[in-house]
Amino acid sequence: MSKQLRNLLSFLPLLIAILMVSLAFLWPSRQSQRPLHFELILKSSANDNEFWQMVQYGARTAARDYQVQVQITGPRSETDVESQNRLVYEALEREPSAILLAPLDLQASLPAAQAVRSQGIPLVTLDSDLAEDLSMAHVGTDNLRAGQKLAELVQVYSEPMDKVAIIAHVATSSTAKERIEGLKLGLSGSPRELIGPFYCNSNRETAKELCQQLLTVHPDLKLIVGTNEWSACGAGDGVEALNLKDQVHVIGFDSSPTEASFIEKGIFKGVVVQKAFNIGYQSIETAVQLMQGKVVPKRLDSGSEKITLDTLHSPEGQKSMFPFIAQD
Amino acid sequence: MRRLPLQVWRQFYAQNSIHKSLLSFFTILLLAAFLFFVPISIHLNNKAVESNSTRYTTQLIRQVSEQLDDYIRYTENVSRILLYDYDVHRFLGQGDEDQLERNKARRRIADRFSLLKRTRSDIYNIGLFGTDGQHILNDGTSTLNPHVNLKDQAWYQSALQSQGNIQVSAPHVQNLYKDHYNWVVTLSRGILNESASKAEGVLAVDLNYKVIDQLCRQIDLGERGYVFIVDRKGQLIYHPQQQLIFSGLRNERLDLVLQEKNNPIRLPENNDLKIMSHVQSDSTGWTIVGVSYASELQGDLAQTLRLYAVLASAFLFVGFLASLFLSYTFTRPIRRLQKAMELAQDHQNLSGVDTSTYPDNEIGHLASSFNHMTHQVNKLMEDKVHEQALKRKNELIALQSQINPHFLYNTLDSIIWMAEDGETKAVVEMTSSLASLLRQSISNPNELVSIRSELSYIRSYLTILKMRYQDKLNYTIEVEDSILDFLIPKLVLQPLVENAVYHGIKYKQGNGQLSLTGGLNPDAQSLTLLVMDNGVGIPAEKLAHLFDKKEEGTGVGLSNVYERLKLYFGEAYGLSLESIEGFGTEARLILPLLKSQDVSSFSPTNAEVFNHLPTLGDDHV
Repeated sequence: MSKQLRNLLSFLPLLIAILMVSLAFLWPSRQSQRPLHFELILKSSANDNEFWQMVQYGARTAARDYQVQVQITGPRSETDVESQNRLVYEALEREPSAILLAPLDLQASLPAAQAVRSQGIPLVTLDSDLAEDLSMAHVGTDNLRAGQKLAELVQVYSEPMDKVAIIAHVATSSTAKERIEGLKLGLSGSPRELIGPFYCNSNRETAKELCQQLLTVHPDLKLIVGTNEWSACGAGDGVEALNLKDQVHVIGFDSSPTEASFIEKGIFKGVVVQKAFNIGYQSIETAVQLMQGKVVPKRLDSGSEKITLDTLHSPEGQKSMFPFIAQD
Repeated sequence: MRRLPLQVWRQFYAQNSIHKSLLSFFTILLLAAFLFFVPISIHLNNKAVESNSTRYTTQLIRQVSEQLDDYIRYTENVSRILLYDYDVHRFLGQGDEDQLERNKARRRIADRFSLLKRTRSDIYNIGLFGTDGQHILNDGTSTLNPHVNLKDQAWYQSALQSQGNIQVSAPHVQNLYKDHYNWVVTLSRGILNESASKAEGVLAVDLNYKVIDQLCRQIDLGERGYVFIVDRKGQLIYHPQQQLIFSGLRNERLDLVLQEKNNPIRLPENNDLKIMSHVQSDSTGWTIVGVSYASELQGDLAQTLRLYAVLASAFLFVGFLASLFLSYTFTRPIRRLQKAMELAQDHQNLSGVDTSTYPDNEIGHLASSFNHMTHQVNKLMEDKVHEQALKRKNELIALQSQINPHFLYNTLDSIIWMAEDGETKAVVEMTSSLASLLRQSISNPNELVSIRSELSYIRSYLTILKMRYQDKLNYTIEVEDSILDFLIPKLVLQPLVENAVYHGIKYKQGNGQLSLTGGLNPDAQSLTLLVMDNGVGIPAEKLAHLFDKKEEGTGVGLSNVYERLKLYFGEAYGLSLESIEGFGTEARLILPLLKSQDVSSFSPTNAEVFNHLPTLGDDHV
């Protein structure tokens, strides 16, 4: 040992003491980080849309659980791509940690998504897809699978070669395309005479009118498949208005008290329920995990379920069909 | 090779100062203590906090349980008031009542229901259902869902069968009321007929979660802690994240709650410990579960560690100071002692140390031992010096009393020759001079003699030499009378004369001249005695080493004289020699003026004088 080293040894306790104190104060403290701020842009901010209300509820629940700020916006109408894109640009100006988008249109939503990516802000899509792979993760129903479940219901409630009409929501949305594709795929083994799809642009009134027109053109129609809440409810309205509930039935999509009531009335034979709450919750969760640098699945299937009159009021059916909204 | 810690320490101790050893020792001790105690202390602390807080949590949820019981009981009471009402029986009464009375009863009941619903926001629906299909829903305006069969409702069935006891359902969506689908807990109760033999109807109160949620959220179980409720069958009654559980995004181990009756359940979850304390209510059969997280109970680990680190550092600092202080108090006296010992070792100071300035411990004892030792050494040295001085004196006396045997033989030979030649007068003179010489050399025991007596000795000596060397040696003695009574060391002049004769004049071609002169110096403080000869002189290189003690071949006396004078009188006095080869030599003695009364201070027994002449005795041949 050199002499200098030995002299240094005399101050070893002091050095250790200083080291310990500084180490202790460098020890990471809890909650030192700035809370994350997400922008969530939905397809519809309408209060009467059960599905998107539940997505919001899920997102807010996740925001509280993960202690992140979430700003939720959405256009009035599900066809208003322009306003949705504008909402994305506005969200970008608030410099969020990440943007979560439910794109209205496969193509027309691209510029907004590209703007997000070009600013280096992570993009998570939910519910619907984009024509290009711009999102870092996607959370939503596997609509091909959901479409196949629609097909399963169709097979139960109709005979082969029966006439089955499709009333879909928006032609350019990925969800409508995939559900119809899934439906056709599911029916490929036992074909039905498919009529449509006809697009109601996610408007209940339009769907009702489409349904009434269809029933006058095709009085021998056995089933009408609606690919979202408004498409299905409109079809139900049409059947109810024409009082044809013993001849033609509806296979619906999504859940709402109206649809539950339609099932109880026997107008709907069944619905395929998405897990809207989960889509909202898991999209925030995924975004949080992305920000934490964790590996997240590129596509997360939030799942879907078939509900019929038999299962509607079973404990499991009620859990899928009716949201449990805590009293605030 | 493995070494035991003790060996390592010993080696460290052997290689480092006490100060460093102490420091290291304190550091290691403190650090080890902290490394050992901090985890234990944190562990024990956590354990204590955990058990305290689970006890506290159990108390809290017991309160919640009691409040929930109160809530259910209160609601039951409200319904009981309604049930014993005359109107209820009139309304449900089978057949014998007239329709008008029945309608009046219906209106009054509906009014009361309406009032109850308005005052109790936690009640979604209140309905009275007769077994005959009659019913009153809320304020009378609600209608029954035509697609739902009342008899299929579980709460209705159980109420009919339970003999008037209140039934609490699991959460379900109440679909009995047209266009309403709400998650409720239904309290239902069979209404017995007047003979109490049979239920004639059911009163059902649908409770929303307003009050249950409030009651369960009011208690604070930390940031992440919460309360949930399970019924007897393991069905979830209430959970703050009920939708998450219904969606399958969250899972709660309800099975564990049912299995474990008394103790809190401890469940590891995401590097944390989830503690579920639970209490079962007898009246509802509900188990209220309070969930808290160990990490929150235990507080911020970083905070605790920080505290311990600061404490440890403070102790280390104190330990540092303490070791400094200790080693200072230990090593300072040791260093002082060490310094004193070094001085003693170099013969600079043998006076020992002042033991009063040393602590009364091992070091103090060491110091007094050292003192004892130096005392012994001093004593030994004094003895030795004394001994040496005594020896020197004896040697000197021996020297003084000694006449060179060769001189004696030569003189005696000369006397024999002169006697053979019949030179009686010369024989007499020489013999008497020799006798005088011998007498003088033995007679005076004193070290110091007067110049007069020393001159007389020289005269006798020169007389003998003159008779031997005849004309080759001529001498003159001219010493001032004034200095004759001053004292000089014995036998300092004779060696100079001897030297001049034997090494100067003896080898000279022709006659030699020796002169001895003496007188007071001009300063009147000293005197000078001069022995000059015109002999062969001394070569310069030989002259330079003439007084060196070990120089071979010099006169016996010269270095002796030189040393003695230096010792007696110091550097200011003494002997100096000058010589020019071929021309002669001059020996100069400069001496102080000493009277007989001063003699005592120049006693050769004086230790100071002889201290530094340990080899004097070796010089003479």
